[in-house]
Amino acid sequence: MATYNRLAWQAASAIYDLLNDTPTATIKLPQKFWQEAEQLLGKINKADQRGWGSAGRQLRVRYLQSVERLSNRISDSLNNLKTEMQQPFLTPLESIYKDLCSLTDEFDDVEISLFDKQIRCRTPDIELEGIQLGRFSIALNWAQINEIQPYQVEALDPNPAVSSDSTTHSHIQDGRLCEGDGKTAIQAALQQGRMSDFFLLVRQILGTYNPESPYVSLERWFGANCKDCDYLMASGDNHYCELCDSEVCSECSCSCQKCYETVCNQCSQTCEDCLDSFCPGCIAPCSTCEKSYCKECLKDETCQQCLEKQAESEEESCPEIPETENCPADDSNLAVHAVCVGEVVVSA
Amino acid sequence: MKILLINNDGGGFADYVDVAEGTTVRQCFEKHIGHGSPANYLIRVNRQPVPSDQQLQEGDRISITPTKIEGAVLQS
Repeated sequence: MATYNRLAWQAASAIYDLLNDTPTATIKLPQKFWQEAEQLLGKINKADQRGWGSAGRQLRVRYLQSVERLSNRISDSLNNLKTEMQQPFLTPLESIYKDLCSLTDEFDDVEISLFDKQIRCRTPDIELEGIQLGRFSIALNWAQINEIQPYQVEALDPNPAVSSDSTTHSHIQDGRLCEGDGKTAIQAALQQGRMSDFFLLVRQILGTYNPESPYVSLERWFGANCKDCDYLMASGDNHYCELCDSEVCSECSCSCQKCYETVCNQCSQTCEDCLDSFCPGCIAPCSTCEKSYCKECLKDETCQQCLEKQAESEEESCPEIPETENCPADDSNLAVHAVCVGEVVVSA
Repeated sequence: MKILLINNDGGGFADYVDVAEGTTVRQCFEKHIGHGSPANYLIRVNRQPVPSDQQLQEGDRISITPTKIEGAVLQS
Protein backbone atom coordinates (compact mmCIF):
# COMPACT_ATOMS: atom_id res chain seq x y z
CA MET A 1 0.00 0.00 0.00
CA ALA A 2 1.34 3.41 -0.95
CA THR A 3 2.36 5.61 1.96
CA TYR A 4 0.49 8.82 2.54
CA ASN A 5 2.44 11.87 1.48
CA ARG A 6 1.11 14.77 3.52
CA LEU A 7 3.09 17.42 1.63
CA ALA A 8 1.83 16.19 -1.73
CA TRP A 9 -1.74 16.14 -0.44
CA GLN A 10 -1.49 19.73 0.82
CA ALA A 11 0.00 20.88 -2.48
CA ALA A 12 -2.66 18.98 -4.45
CA SER A 13 -5.40 20.55 -2.33
CA ALA A 14 -4.01 24.04 -2.95
CA ILE A 15 -3.80 23.41 -6.70
CA TYR A 16 -7.31 21.94 -6.78
CA ASP A 17 -8.71 24.95 -4.93
CA LEU A 18 -6.99 27.39 -7.27
CA LEU A 19 -8.25 25.61 -10.37
CA ASN A 20 -11.80 25.55 -9.00
CA ASP A 21 -11.64 29.13 -7.88
CA THR A 22 -12.04 30.71 -11.29
CA PRO A 23 -13.94 33.95 -10.72
CA THR A 24 -17.40 34.12 -12.25
CA ALA A 25 -18.57 37.29 -13.91
CA THR A 26 -21.63 39.05 -12.52
CA ILE A 27 -24.58 38.57 -14.84
CA LYS A 28 -26.17 41.89 -15.77
CA LEU A 29 -28.87 42.81 -18.24
CA PRO A 30 -28.01 45.84 -20.42
CA GLN A 31 -30.71 47.99 -18.81
CA LYS A 32 -28.96 51.28 -19.56
CA PHE A 33 -29.04 50.54 -23.29
CA TRP A 34 -32.64 49.30 -23.09
CA GLN A 35 -33.69 52.56 -21.42
CA GLU A 36 -31.82 54.61 -23.99
CA ALA A 37 -33.68 52.81 -26.80
CA GLU A 38 -37.00 53.22 -24.99
CA GLN A 39 -36.48 56.98 -24.61
CA LEU A 40 -35.65 57.34 -28.30
CA LEU A 41 -38.73 55.34 -29.25
CA GLY A 42 -40.88 57.71 -27.15
CA LYS A 43 -39.37 60.71 -28.90
CA ILE A 44 -40.02 59.17 -32.33
CA ASN A 45 -43.68 58.62 -31.48
CA LYS A 46 -43.95 62.20 -30.25
CA ALA A 47 -42.30 63.57 -33.41
CA ASP A 48 -44.64 61.49 -35.59
CA GLN A 49 -47.73 62.68 -33.71
CA ARG A 50 -46.72 66.31 -34.18
CA GLY A 51 -45.75 65.85 -37.80
CA TRP A 52 -42.07 66.69 -37.34
CA GLY A 53 -40.82 64.67 -40.30
CA SER A 54 -37.16 65.75 -40.25
CA ALA A 55 -36.78 65.23 -36.49
CA GLY A 56 -38.50 61.86 -36.81
CA ARG A 57 -36.02 60.71 -39.47
CA GLN A 58 -32.99 61.80 -37.40
CA LEU A 59 -34.39 60.10 -34.33
CA ARG A 60 -34.90 56.88 -36.28
CA VAL A 61 -31.18 56.86 -37.21
CA ARG A 62 -30.25 57.30 -33.55
CA TYR A 63 -32.77 54.62 -32.54
CA LEU A 64 -31.24 52.17 -35.01
CA GLN A 65 -27.77 52.78 -33.57
CA SER A 66 -29.10 52.43 -30.05
CA VAL A 67 -30.81 49.11 -30.79
CA GLU A 68 -27.63 47.83 -32.44
CA ARG A 69 -25.67 48.67 -29.27
CA LEU A 70 -28.31 46.92 -27.19
CA SER A 71 -28.17 43.87 -29.44
CA ASN A 72 -24.36 43.74 -29.21
CA ARG A 73 -24.49 43.93 -25.42
CA ILE A 74 -26.98 41.09 -25.27
CA SER A 75 -24.80 38.97 -27.62
CA ASP A 76 -21.70 39.67 -25.52
CA SER A 77 -23.54 38.79 -22.37
CA LEU A 78 -24.83 35.57 -23.92
CA ASN A 79 -21.36 34.55 -25.15
CA ASN A 80 -19.77 35.26 -21.76
CA LEU A 81 -22.40 33.16 -20.06
CA LYS A 82 -21.92 30.28 -22.50
CA THR A 83 -18.12 30.34 -22.01
CA GLU A 84 -18.55 30.43 -18.26
CA MET A 85 -20.93 27.51 -18.32
CA GLN A 86 -18.65 25.28 -20.37
CA GLN A 87 -17.26 22.96 -17.75
CA PRO A 88 -13.65 22.11 -18.62
CA PHE A 89 -12.26 18.70 -17.82
CA LEU A 90 -10.85 19.05 -14.34
CA THR A 91 -8.78 16.44 -12.61
CA PRO A 92 -10.20 15.36 -9.24
CA LEU A 93 -8.20 16.20 -6.14
CA GLU A 94 -7.22 12.57 -5.62
CA SER A 95 -5.85 12.41 -9.14
CA ILE A 96 -3.77 15.58 -8.64
CA TYR A 97 -2.38 13.99 -5.49
CA LYS A 98 -1.53 10.77 -7.36
CA ASP A 99 0.11 12.85 -10.09
CA LEU A 100 2.35 14.55 -7.55
CA CYS A 101 3.22 11.24 -5.91
CA SER A 102 4.07 9.69 -9.28
CA LEU A 103 6.57 12.43 -10.15
CA THR A 104 9.26 10.59 -8.21
CA ASP A 105 8.92 7.70 -10.71
CA GLU A 106 9.70 10.04 -13.60
CA PHE A 107 12.25 12.46 -12.15
CA ASP A 108 15.49 12.07 -10.23
CA ASP A 109 14.53 14.63 -7.64
CA VAL A 110 11.16 16.12 -6.72
CA GLU A 111 10.70 18.86 -4.17
CA ILE A 112 7.42 20.34 -2.96
CA SER A 113 7.60 23.61 -1.07
CA LEU A 114 4.43 24.86 0.58
CA PHE A 115 6.24 28.03 1.59
CA ASP A 116 7.25 28.93 -2.00
CA LYS A 117 4.12 27.29 -3.44
CA GLN A 118 6.42 25.46 -5.81
CA ILE A 119 6.93 21.96 -7.16
CA ARG A 120 10.43 21.46 -8.50
CA CYS A 121 11.48 18.49 -10.59
CA ARG A 122 15.05 17.84 -11.63
CA THR A 123 15.73 16.33 -15.01
CA PRO A 124 18.63 13.99 -15.73
CA ASP A 125 21.59 15.32 -17.73
CA ILE A 126 20.42 16.60 -21.07
CA GLU A 127 22.62 16.24 -24.12
CA LEU A 128 21.58 17.61 -27.48
CA GLU A 129 23.59 17.01 -30.67
CA GLY A 130 26.59 15.99 -28.57
CA ILE A 131 26.51 19.11 -26.39
CA GLN A 132 26.12 18.60 -22.66
CA LEU A 133 23.60 21.07 -21.30
CA GLY A 134 23.47 19.53 -17.83
CA ARG A 135 20.49 19.03 -15.55
CA PHE A 136 17.53 21.35 -15.37
CA SER A 137 15.10 22.21 -12.61
CA ILE A 138 11.48 22.69 -13.70
CA ALA A 139 9.86 24.84 -11.03
CA LEU A 140 6.08 25.22 -11.16
CA ASN A 141 4.69 28.06 -9.09
CA TRP A 142 1.19 26.80 -8.44
CA ALA A 143 0.02 30.14 -7.03
CA GLN A 144 0.18 31.37 -10.64
CA ILE A 145 -1.31 28.26 -12.20
CA ASN A 146 -4.12 30.23 -13.85
CA GLU A 147 -1.60 32.61 -15.47
CA ILE A 148 0.50 32.23 -18.60
CA GLN A 149 3.62 30.09 -18.17
CA PRO A 150 3.64 29.83 -14.37
CA TYR A 151 6.95 28.00 -14.32
CA GLN A 152 10.68 28.53 -14.76
CA VAL A 153 13.31 26.19 -16.12
CA GLU A 154 16.69 26.70 -14.51
CA ALA A 155 19.94 25.10 -15.59
CA LEU A 156 21.56 23.40 -12.61
CA ASP A 157 24.90 22.86 -14.35
CA PRO A 158 24.74 25.76 -16.79
CA ASN A 159 26.62 25.48 -20.02
CA PRO A 160 25.22 28.53 -21.77
CA ALA A 161 25.83 29.52 -25.35
CA VAL A 162 29.02 31.55 -25.73
CA SER A 163 27.07 34.29 -27.47
CA SER A 164 24.38 34.55 -24.76
CA ASP A 165 24.86 33.85 -21.04
CA SER A 166 21.09 33.72 -20.50
CA THR A 167 20.59 30.98 -23.09
CA THR A 168 21.18 27.75 -21.17
CA HIS A 169 19.31 25.58 -23.67
CA SER A 170 18.55 26.13 -27.33
CA HIS A 171 14.92 26.79 -26.33
CA ILE A 172 15.41 28.55 -22.98
CA GLN A 173 16.29 32.15 -22.36
CA ASP A 174 16.27 33.80 -18.93
CA GLY A 175 14.65 30.69 -17.46
CA ARG A 176 11.72 30.86 -19.87
CA LEU A 177 11.03 27.89 -22.11
CA CYS A 178 9.78 28.52 -25.61
CA GLU A 179 7.25 25.73 -25.72
CA GLY A 180 6.75 25.56 -29.49
CA ASP A 181 4.71 22.48 -30.42
CA GLY A 182 4.08 21.74 -26.74
CA LYS A 183 2.44 25.07 -25.94
CA THR A 184 -1.21 24.02 -26.21
CA ALA A 185 -0.70 20.67 -24.52
CA ILE A 186 1.15 22.33 -21.61
CA GLN A 187 -1.59 24.91 -21.18
CA ALA A 188 -4.25 22.20 -21.23
CA ALA A 189 -2.35 20.07 -18.70
CA LEU A 190 -2.02 23.03 -16.32
CA GLN A 191 -5.61 24.20 -16.71
CA GLN A 192 -6.88 20.67 -16.08
CA GLY A 193 -4.58 20.04 -13.14
CA ARG A 194 -2.69 17.20 -14.84
CA MET A 195 0.59 17.78 -13.04
CA SER A 196 2.48 14.71 -14.21
CA ASP A 197 1.60 15.49 -17.84
CA PHE A 198 2.81 19.05 -17.42
CA PHE A 199 6.22 18.01 -16.08
CA LEU A 200 6.56 15.24 -18.67
CA LEU A 201 5.77 17.62 -21.53
CA VAL A 202 8.38 20.14 -20.37
CA ARG A 203 10.95 17.38 -19.94
CA GLN A 204 10.30 16.06 -23.44
CA ILE A 205 10.74 19.55 -24.93
CA LEU A 206 14.04 19.90 -23.07
CA GLY A 207 15.18 16.63 -24.60
CA THR A 208 14.34 17.72 -28.15
CA TYR A 209 16.26 20.04 -30.41
CA ASN A 210 14.44 22.06 -33.05
CA PRO A 211 17.09 23.45 -35.42
CA GLU A 212 14.45 25.55 -37.18
CA SER A 213 13.86 27.96 -34.33
CA PRO A 214 16.40 27.98 -31.50
CA TYR A 215 17.51 31.01 -29.48
CA VAL A 216 21.04 29.95 -30.30
CA SER A 217 21.63 27.06 -32.67
CA LEU A 218 23.71 24.19 -31.31
CA GLU A 219 26.07 24.61 -34.26
CA ARG A 220 27.01 27.98 -32.83
CA TRP A 221 26.77 27.03 -29.17
CA PHE A 222 30.45 27.61 -28.60
CA GLY A 223 30.41 30.88 -30.45
CA ALA A 224 30.80 32.07 -33.95
CA ASN A 225 33.87 33.24 -35.76
CA CYS A 226 33.95 36.71 -37.26
CA LYS A 227 33.69 36.38 -41.02
CA ASP A 228 36.32 39.06 -41.56
CA CYS A 229 39.00 38.41 -38.95
CA ASP A 230 38.04 34.91 -37.66
CA TYR A 231 37.91 36.17 -34.07
CA LEU A 232 35.74 33.96 -31.75
CA MET A 233 32.97 36.32 -30.74
CA ALA A 234 31.45 36.34 -27.27
CA SER A 235 28.12 37.60 -25.99
CA GLY A 236 27.15 40.97 -27.45
CA ASP A 237 30.17 41.21 -29.69
CA ASN A 238 28.49 39.91 -32.82
CA HIS A 239 26.87 42.10 -35.44
CA TYR A 240 25.05 41.21 -38.61
CA CYS A 241 25.81 43.11 -41.79
CA GLU A 242 22.49 44.35 -43.11
CA LEU A 243 23.69 43.95 -46.66
CA CYS A 244 25.42 40.58 -46.90
CA ASP A 245 24.05 39.14 -43.59
CA SER A 246 27.50 37.97 -42.52
CA GLU A 247 28.28 37.90 -38.81
CA VAL A 248 31.19 40.05 -37.83
CA CYS A 249 32.79 41.33 -34.63
CA SER A 250 32.65 44.92 -33.38
CA GLU A 251 36.03 45.68 -34.91
CA CYS A 252 34.95 44.46 -38.32
CA SER A 253 31.59 46.23 -38.46
CA CYS A 254 30.59 49.84 -38.60
CA SER A 255 27.51 51.98 -38.64
CA CYS A 256 26.84 54.08 -41.73
CA GLN A 257 27.31 57.71 -40.74
CA LYS A 258 24.29 58.73 -42.78
CA CYS A 259 21.57 56.06 -42.30
CA TYR A 260 23.10 54.17 -39.33
CA GLU A 261 22.74 50.79 -41.03
CA THR A 262 25.20 48.19 -39.69
CA VAL A 263 27.57 47.01 -42.37
CA CYS A 264 30.67 44.85 -42.37
CA ASN A 265 34.01 46.21 -43.44
CA GLN A 266 33.68 44.40 -46.77
CA CYS A 267 30.41 46.14 -47.59
CA SER A 268 31.21 49.57 -46.13
CA GLN A 269 32.91 52.29 -48.14
CA THR A 270 34.99 55.20 -46.93
CA CYS A 271 34.47 58.73 -48.15
CA GLU A 272 37.71 59.99 -49.72
CA ASP A 273 37.14 63.41 -48.25
CA CYS A 274 35.76 63.14 -44.70
CA LEU A 275 37.10 59.56 -44.25
CA ASP A 276 33.89 58.41 -42.49
CA SER A 277 32.38 54.99 -43.28
CA PHE A 278 29.12 54.64 -45.17
CA CYS A 279 26.90 51.95 -46.61
CA PRO A 280 26.91 51.74 -50.42
CA GLY A 281 23.54 53.48 -50.58
CA CYS A 282 24.86 56.62 -48.91
CA ILE A 283 28.02 56.98 -50.97
CA ALA A 284 28.44 57.81 -54.66
CA PRO A 285 31.28 58.15 -57.16
CA CYS A 286 32.46 61.58 -58.23
CA SER A 287 31.32 62.15 -61.81
CA THR A 288 34.84 63.26 -62.76
CA CYS A 289 37.39 61.21 -60.82
CA GLU A 290 35.00 58.33 -59.95
CA LYS A 291 36.37 58.06 -56.42
CA SER A 292 33.82 57.40 -53.63
CA TYR A 293 32.43 60.27 -51.64
CA CYS A 294 29.55 60.66 -49.24
CA LYS A 295 26.67 62.79 -50.42
CA GLU A 296 27.67 65.59 -48.06
CA CYS A 297 31.08 65.83 -49.69
CA LEU A 298 29.75 65.91 -53.26
CA LYS A 299 28.46 69.03 -54.98
CA ASP A 300 26.61 68.51 -58.25
CA GLU A 301 27.92 64.91 -58.19
CA THR A 302 31.47 66.23 -58.17
CA CYS A 303 33.96 66.16 -55.35
CA GLN A 304 35.57 69.27 -53.93
CA GLN A 305 38.99 68.44 -55.40
CA CYS A 306 37.60 68.04 -58.92
CA LEU A 307 35.60 71.24 -58.58
CA GLU A 308 38.75 73.08 -57.57
CA LYS A 309 40.68 71.56 -60.47
CA GLN A 310 37.97 72.58 -62.91
CA ALA A 311 37.98 76.10 -61.60
CA GLU A 312 41.76 76.27 -61.93
CA SER A 313 41.74 74.95 -65.50
CA GLU A 314 39.03 77.43 -66.45
CA GLU A 315 41.10 80.24 -65.06
CA GLU A 316 44.13 79.03 -67.00
CA SER A 317 42.27 78.79 -70.32
CA CYS A 318 40.62 82.17 -69.86
CA PRO A 319 43.37 84.59 -68.62
CA GLU A 320 42.12 87.66 -66.93
CA ILE A 321 41.84 90.58 -69.28
CA PRO A 322 41.05 94.21 -68.61
CA GLU A 323 37.38 94.99 -68.21
CA THR A 324 37.36 97.34 -71.21
CA GLU A 325 38.33 94.46 -73.51
CA ASN A 326 35.53 92.18 -72.34
CA CYS A 327 33.08 90.84 -74.86
CA PRO A 328 30.54 93.52 -75.63
CA ALA A 329 27.33 91.57 -75.71
CA ASP A 330 25.45 93.97 -77.91
CA ASP A 331 28.17 94.69 -80.44
CA SER A 332 26.19 94.10 -83.65
CA ASN A 333 29.23 94.76 -85.82
CA LEU A 334 30.88 91.53 -84.78
CA ALA A 335 30.02 88.44 -86.78
CA VAL A 336 31.09 85.91 -84.15
CA HIS A 337 30.16 86.29 -80.54
CA ALA A 338 32.13 84.88 -77.71
CA VAL A 339 30.17 82.41 -75.70
CA CYS A 340 32.29 82.64 -72.64
CA VAL A 341 32.92 85.59 -70.47
CA GLY A 342 36.54 86.57 -70.74
CA GLU A 343 37.12 85.22 -74.26
CA VAL A 344 38.19 87.59 -76.93
CA VAL A 345 35.91 88.25 -79.83
CA VAL A 346 37.41 87.45 -83.21
CA SER A 347 36.11 89.30 -86.19
CA ALA A 348 34.86 87.30 -89.15
CA MET B 1 -16.07 0.31 -20.45
CA LYS B 2 -14.83 3.85 -19.85
CA ILE B 3 -11.24 4.90 -19.53
CA LEU B 4 -9.63 8.32 -19.25
CA LEU B 5 -7.57 9.00 -22.37
CA ILE B 6 -4.99 11.77 -22.30
CA ASN B 7 -3.41 12.52 -25.65
CA ASN B 8 -0.58 15.00 -25.20
CA ASP B 9 0.19 15.02 -28.93
CA GLY B 10 -0.88 18.38 -30.30
CA GLY B 11 -3.53 20.16 -28.28
CA GLY B 12 -3.49 17.97 -25.17
CA PHE B 13 -6.84 16.19 -25.30
CA ALA B 14 -8.17 14.59 -22.11
CA ASP B 15 -11.54 12.91 -21.85
CA TYR B 16 -13.32 9.73 -20.98
CA VAL B 17 -13.74 7.36 -23.90
CA ASP B 18 -15.46 4.02 -24.36
CA VAL B 19 -13.30 1.03 -25.22
CA ALA B 20 -14.22 -2.60 -25.66
CA GLU B 21 -13.42 -5.09 -22.94
CA GLY B 22 -10.01 -6.63 -23.45
CA THR B 23 -8.61 -3.69 -25.44
CA THR B 24 -4.84 -3.63 -25.17
CA VAL B 25 -2.66 -0.54 -24.82
CA ARG B 26 -1.45 -0.96 -28.41
CA GLN B 27 -5.00 -1.26 -29.77
CA CYS B 28 -6.02 1.86 -27.87
CA PHE B 29 -2.99 3.70 -29.23
CA GLU B 30 -3.72 2.63 -32.81
CA LYS B 31 -7.35 3.63 -32.52
CA HIS B 32 -6.86 7.03 -30.93
CA ILE B 33 -3.47 8.17 -32.23
CA GLY B 34 -3.55 6.43 -35.57
CA HIS B 35 -0.23 7.63 -36.87
CA GLY B 36 3.34 7.02 -35.76
CA SER B 37 4.90 4.26 -33.79
CA PRO B 38 4.20 3.62 -30.10
CA ALA B 39 7.98 3.72 -29.64
CA ASN B 40 7.83 7.46 -30.27
CA TYR B 41 5.52 8.01 -27.32
CA LEU B 42 5.68 7.70 -23.56
CA ILE B 43 2.65 5.61 -22.76
CA ARG B 44 1.59 5.41 -19.15
CA VAL B 45 -1.35 3.58 -17.66
CA ASN B 46 -2.26 4.86 -14.23
CA ARG B 47 1.02 6.82 -14.36
CA GLN B 48 3.16 3.72 -14.82
CA PRO B 49 4.98 2.39 -17.91
CA VAL B 50 3.26 -0.74 -19.20
CA PRO B 51 3.81 -3.36 -21.88
CA SER B 52 1.91 -2.76 -25.12
CA ASP B 53 -0.12 -5.95 -24.73
CA GLN B 54 -1.50 -5.04 -21.33
CA GLN B 55 -5.28 -5.03 -21.29
CA LEU B 56 -6.99 -1.88 -20.15
CA GLN B 57 -9.37 -1.98 -17.22
CA GLU B 58 -12.47 0.03 -16.43
CA GLY B 59 -11.47 3.47 -15.08
CA ASP B 60 -7.86 3.24 -16.24
CA ARG B 61 -6.04 6.46 -17.00
CA ILE B 62 -3.91 6.17 -20.13
CA SER B 63 -1.65 9.05 -21.12
CA ILE B 64 0.22 9.27 -24.40
CA THR B 65 3.02 11.83 -24.68
CA PRO B 66 5.37 12.23 -27.66
CA THR B 67 9.00 11.57 -26.83
CA LYS B 68 10.06 14.46 -29.09
CA ILE B 69 8.34 17.82 -28.78
CA GLU B 70 9.95 20.69 -30.59
CA GLY B 71 10.36 23.96 -28.76
CA ALA B 72 10.54 27.16 -30.76
CA VAL B 73 11.27 30.84 -30.36
CA LEU B 74 8.31 31.94 -32.45
CA GLN B 75 5.00 30.94 -31.06
CA SER B 76 1.61 31.29 -32.57
